[in-house]
Amino acid sequence: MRNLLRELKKHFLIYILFVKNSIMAQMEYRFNFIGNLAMESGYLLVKLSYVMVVYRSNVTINGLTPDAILLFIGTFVALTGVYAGMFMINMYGLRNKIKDGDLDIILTKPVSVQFMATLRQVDLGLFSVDVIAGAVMVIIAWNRLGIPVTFLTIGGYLGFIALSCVVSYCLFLLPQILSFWLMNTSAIAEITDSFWDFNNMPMDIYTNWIKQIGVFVLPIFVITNFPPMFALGKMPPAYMAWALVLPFILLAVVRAAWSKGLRSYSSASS
Amino acid sequence: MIIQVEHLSKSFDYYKKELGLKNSIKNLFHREKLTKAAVREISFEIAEGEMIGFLGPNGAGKTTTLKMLSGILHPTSGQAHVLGYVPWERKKAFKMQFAIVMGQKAQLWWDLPANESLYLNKCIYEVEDKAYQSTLAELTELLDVKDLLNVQVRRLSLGERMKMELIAALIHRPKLIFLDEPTIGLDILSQKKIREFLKYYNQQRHATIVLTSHYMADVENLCKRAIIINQGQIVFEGDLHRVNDLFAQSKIIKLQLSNTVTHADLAAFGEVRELTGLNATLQVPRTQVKEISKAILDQLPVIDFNIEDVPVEEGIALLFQRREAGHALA
Repeated sequence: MRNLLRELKKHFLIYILFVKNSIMAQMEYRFNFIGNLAMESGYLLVKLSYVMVVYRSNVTINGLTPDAILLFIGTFVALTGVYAGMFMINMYGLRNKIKDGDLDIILTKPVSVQFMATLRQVDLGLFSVDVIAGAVMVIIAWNRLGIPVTFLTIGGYLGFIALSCVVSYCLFLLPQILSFWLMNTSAIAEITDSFWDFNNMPMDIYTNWIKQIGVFVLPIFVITNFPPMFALGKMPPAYMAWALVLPFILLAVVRAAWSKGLRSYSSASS
Repeated sequence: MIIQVEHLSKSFDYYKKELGLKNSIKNLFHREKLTKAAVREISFEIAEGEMIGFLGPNGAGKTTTLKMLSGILHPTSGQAHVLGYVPWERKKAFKMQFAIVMGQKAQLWWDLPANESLYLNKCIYEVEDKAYQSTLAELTELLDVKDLLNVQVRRLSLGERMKMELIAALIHRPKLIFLDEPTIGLDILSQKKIREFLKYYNQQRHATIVLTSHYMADVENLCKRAIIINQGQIVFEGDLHRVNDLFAQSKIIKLQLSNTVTHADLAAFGEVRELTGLNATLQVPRTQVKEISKAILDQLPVIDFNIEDVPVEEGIALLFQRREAGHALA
């Protein structure tokens, strides 16, 4: 147990260095860095205008008021930042690393190979704009809905956000692991990536059977629907139990697939 | 023994595609799977503190062997123990004790100064602050790159970058170092500096070094023992300078003459390898060196005379040719 905690602490410290190095590497190109920040700030304004769209259209979905819809959209936008800025950038790189034999050096390092190969890069621009925009939307919606600010509601919401991060990491890494056998999986990855956008509105807009598939079979809806559902007190017990079990199931599946894939890693001739 | 290898083999699957779009379309539906045996049943041992060279032409299996010994690749069959571990089990304790440097693959962050990557490696290998500072100071001093630590890696020359790669690999003071073509593409001065450094490091730290290189000078200068590998099999193992003992034992006689002589004049003494102006090179049977030398000195206008072994490169080339001829006949 002590060893496990030691390893977790080590990996956490290395992750901080990865984040720091990624940001510093982007800052080395001053013009590009500042230009990106300016462009992302523009996007931030555009995303914040979603708030206006939701209220102007005044739509209600299965009893969800515009305030509740904003809570869902805000959660989706924030998690999109996490996905795009922390995971996607690495996952797109992974298939090239496998194809070009660039996992070689990583495989010799005394840290988790999966950790190093899938979390090494962070894109500050992609991450920050969406997370800030999403957080602003959630805060506005939270206030207007009058959800109490307690340890349980805030802690629970953030806990579900953390579980959602794990689910999205696993769910979108799995197709990339196929690269160990297929080498190029860009087509599969593009299809699975497009599933992300199923979350840009509450899952209540879909029919019941699509909802059940999206929760239990291909659990894409779990990612951005469960945190606001918890905050709104609309979380059925079955979903609650599923939300707590699913990340562990997916982590186990990803670990098994990763280990099997790594055995098939054939590097590339130098 | 720090490395024990028994009947290690590695095969890769691949397929061929004939020229043109038509064959690309055909390939969509059917591909004939072919298997290439990159390494075939090799066995050898390496002692602690040894510096050993792997030599061989492109595609001989040198890098594949190194990749199996460092745990990057799983073998198709066979066994290996490195530092007491099975490398492809990739145990943390194993990884903490060795390093690999690949001339064609970088571990430094391209857009950052090297010191950021070195610090990252310090954390990855759990090196104490004090040990890190002293190792860094020692290695940068030895490789003469102290002033370059704060320079973006992409701004460094190839030689400087390779020196930084070496420092990154050695920051945790590994017991065993795999070097895959560490001098590839470097100028002569950089090659020499890196060779001197490796020699010093091996002597001072008693680290075991396994080196692959295309450059004979790397292996000749650094390694007492070499393993020559061709078409996935070991064709020679031992002192590199004994490669020529395997052949029909020739000697080289180099002459500087005071007057010009004809090709026929020289051919009377042995095989004429070169005749340019007043310089000539002859290849003669080792057993007759004494008699032929005496005759040359008596009959030709010699002002300088040298007897040498056949260059190692030629011995190795003969070794490869003999192997390939054997395969062609088989």
